[in-house]
Amino acid sequence: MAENKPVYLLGLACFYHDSSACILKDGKVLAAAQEERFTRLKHDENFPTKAIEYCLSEVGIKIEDVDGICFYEKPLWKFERLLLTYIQEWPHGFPSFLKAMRAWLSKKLWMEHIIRKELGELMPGFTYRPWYQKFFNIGTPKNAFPNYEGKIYYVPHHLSHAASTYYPSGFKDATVLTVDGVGEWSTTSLALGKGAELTLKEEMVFPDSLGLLYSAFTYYLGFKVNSGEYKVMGLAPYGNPIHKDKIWELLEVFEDGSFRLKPQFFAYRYGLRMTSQKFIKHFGKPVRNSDDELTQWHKDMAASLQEVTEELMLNLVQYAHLQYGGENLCLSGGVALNCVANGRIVREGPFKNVYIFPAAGDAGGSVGAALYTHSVMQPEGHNLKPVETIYLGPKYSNEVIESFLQEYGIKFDKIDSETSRSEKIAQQLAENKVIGLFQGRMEFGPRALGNRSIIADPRQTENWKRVNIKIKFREDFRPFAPSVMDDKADEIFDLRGVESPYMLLTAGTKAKDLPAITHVNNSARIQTVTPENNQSYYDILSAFNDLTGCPVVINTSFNVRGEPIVCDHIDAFKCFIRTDMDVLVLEDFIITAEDIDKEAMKEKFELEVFGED
Amino acid sequence: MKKIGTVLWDGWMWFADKVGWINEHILLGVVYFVFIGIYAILYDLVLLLKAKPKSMWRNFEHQPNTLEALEKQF
Repeated sequence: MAENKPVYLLGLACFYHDSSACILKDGKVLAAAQEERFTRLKHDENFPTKAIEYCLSEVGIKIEDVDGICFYEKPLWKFERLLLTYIQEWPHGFPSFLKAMRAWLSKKLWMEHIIRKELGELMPGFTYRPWYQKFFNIGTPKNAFPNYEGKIYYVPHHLSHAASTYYPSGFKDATVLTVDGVGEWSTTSLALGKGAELTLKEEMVFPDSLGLLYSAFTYYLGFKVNSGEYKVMGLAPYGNPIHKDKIWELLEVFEDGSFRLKPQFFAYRYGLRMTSQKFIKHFGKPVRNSDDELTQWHKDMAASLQEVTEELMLNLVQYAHLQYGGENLCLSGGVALNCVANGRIVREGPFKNVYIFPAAGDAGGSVGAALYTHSVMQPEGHNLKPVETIYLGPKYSNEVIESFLQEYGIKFDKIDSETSRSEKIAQQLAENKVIGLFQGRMEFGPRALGNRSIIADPRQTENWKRVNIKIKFREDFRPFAPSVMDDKADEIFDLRGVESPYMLLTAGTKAKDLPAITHVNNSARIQTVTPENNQSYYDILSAFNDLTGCPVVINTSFNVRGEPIVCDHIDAFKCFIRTDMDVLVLEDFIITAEDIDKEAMKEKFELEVFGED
Repeated sequence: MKKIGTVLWDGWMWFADKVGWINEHILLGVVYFVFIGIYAILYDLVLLLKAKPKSMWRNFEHQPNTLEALEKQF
C-alpha cells in the first residue's frame, strides 16, 4: 500500500434484516445507506448491491480501489450456535433445523464465496469460452465477471455494534453496552473503550436475551418480529403495567443485572414460533392475530413489558458502572432504539454522558465493522472525532429534480433564496398544511431527521389523526415525534439540558398546547435541531417560530405503512400523489396538491391501490 | 481454502439439484435424528453434572485484535 494513498474500507451488513453498506476513508465515514431505500423492500436482507454502488459513487472510487471489506459478523460462530442449540433442544427442533440447514448449506455457510461473487459483479465483466468450446470451435462466448480478490474481514456482531457507537461518540474513553436479539452467541455485551482501543469484556449469550424477550411479546401481541417492536413501545403508554409480576415470572434475575429466560416459556430456540404453549397458558390468552382488535388487556401487556424492559436495562447500566466506572456510556444494538428506556437511562442512570448511535440496529453494523477494522489496521491514526453528520445517504440536485418535474409536466413553484424557502415552508405549515419535506442527503438509520420527513403543525389535534390515517395509513394509536429548535427545547420539554439530535430519547412535555406530539402519558420522542446538524431544517423551525411563536413541528418519516422511507425525488413524488399530503418540497421546488391532478398522476405512474399492510 | 469452499458449494448445489427436495429432507432427517441425537443425549448427561449458575455474564475471550484474526470466519 503506498504511504500517501488513503485507506478505503467498505462495511457490509446483510443476510438477516436491514442490509446496509458504508464507506470509510482513513477512518472517516463518508457515506452509508440501507439497501431497502433503493430496492423499496422494507427491511431488505439481501446483499446490499445498490447501497454499495451508491457508497462507491459518493466517494468516486471503484470496488477495486477498496482496501478491505468488513462484514458485521463471524458466520461460523453463528453456525456453531445453531448446531449447539439444536443439540440442546433435540428432538423438538426438527422443522426449524430443516429450514435453517437449507438456508445455511445453500447460502450462509459460503459467505466469503458469495461476497466475492456479488462484489465481482461490480467489476468490469468479460466474455469467455470454456476449453471444450475453444477446442471444438463451437458455442458462443459467455458473459462473466471476475471474483473480488481483496481482503475480507469478519468482525464479531456485538463488537461491530460496540464500535458503531463508541468511535462516533467522540468520547476519549467510555463503557459500551450493546443489547439486541442475538448476534453469533452474544445477546448483550459490555465493552471498554480507551482511545482507539475497544475491548469486549463480558457477554451474555443466547438464549438469554432482552431483545428476544421483547420480540416474543411483539409476536404474542400480533405484530411482526424484527419490525413491530416500536409499535409495542408506542402502545405501552395506553396501558397500565398490571401484568409486570407475571412477566417477571418468566425470568430469573441475578444480583449483577444479568438474567436467564426460563426456557419452558419460549419456543424461539427450537421452533418457528417465539412463544411456547406454557407461555400462552401463563398469560391465559392466545396469540393475537394482526387483524384482531387491540383491547385494554393487550395495552396493559405492552405497558408491563415496557416497564420490565426499562428496569432490566437500568440494571445492566448499573452493573456496567459498578464494574467499569467512568462518566461516559455508549449504547447500541436493537434494544437501544427503545427511546423510552434510553430516556430513563439518561435521567436515572449513573453515567454523566450517554451517546446512542442513531443506526443502533443491525444496519449500523456495517459502520461498526468498518470502524473496528480501521482501528486494528491503523491504531495510531484512527479517527476519534465525533461523527460530523448522520446525513450519509444520497442527495439529488435541483437540476435533476427540475428535469424530472418538466418531463412529467408537474406544476411547481421555484424558490430563489434560502430565506424565502424557509419562510414559504413555514407559512404553509402555519396554514395547517401537511408537507412532505425532501432535501439534502438522506439520513442513515431508522429515523427521518428532517431531510426525508413529513412535517405539520403540532398545535392542531386533528393533524395527529390526519397524518396517521390519511397520509401514513397506519394504526391510529401511534404517536408522532416533535422536532424542536435546540435552543428552545428546554422551554418545552423536560430534557434537562440533554441534546437528542437523533430522536432516540423521550422526555416529558411541559407545553400544554401541543396535542399532536404529546403522547397519552405526556411524553414525546424528541429531535433537537441545531444549525450545525441541519441548517435548512433549523431555518424552517426558526421561521415557523417567528411566525407562530411555536419552535416545534411534527416530524414523521416520509413513507407510508409497509414501505421504506423515500430515497429519491421520484419516490417522494409517488408517495405525495398517493396520500392526502398538501405540499411537497423537493429541494428548491414547491408542489402543491391543488396544482396537480393526483388521480391522473397516479395513472401516469401506474400505481397500485394501496393502504393495506 | 477458497477453492475447497467453492468446490464444496458447487458439490452441494449439484447434490441438492440431483437428489431433489424429498431426498434432501431425508438426508437432513438422518443427520438430525441420528448424529445430533447421540450428541444431544451425551450433552444432557454433562448438563446434569453442571452446577447452577449465579450469573449469566461470561468473559469474552475471542476478540480478534489483528487483521489475521479478523480475516477468519470463526
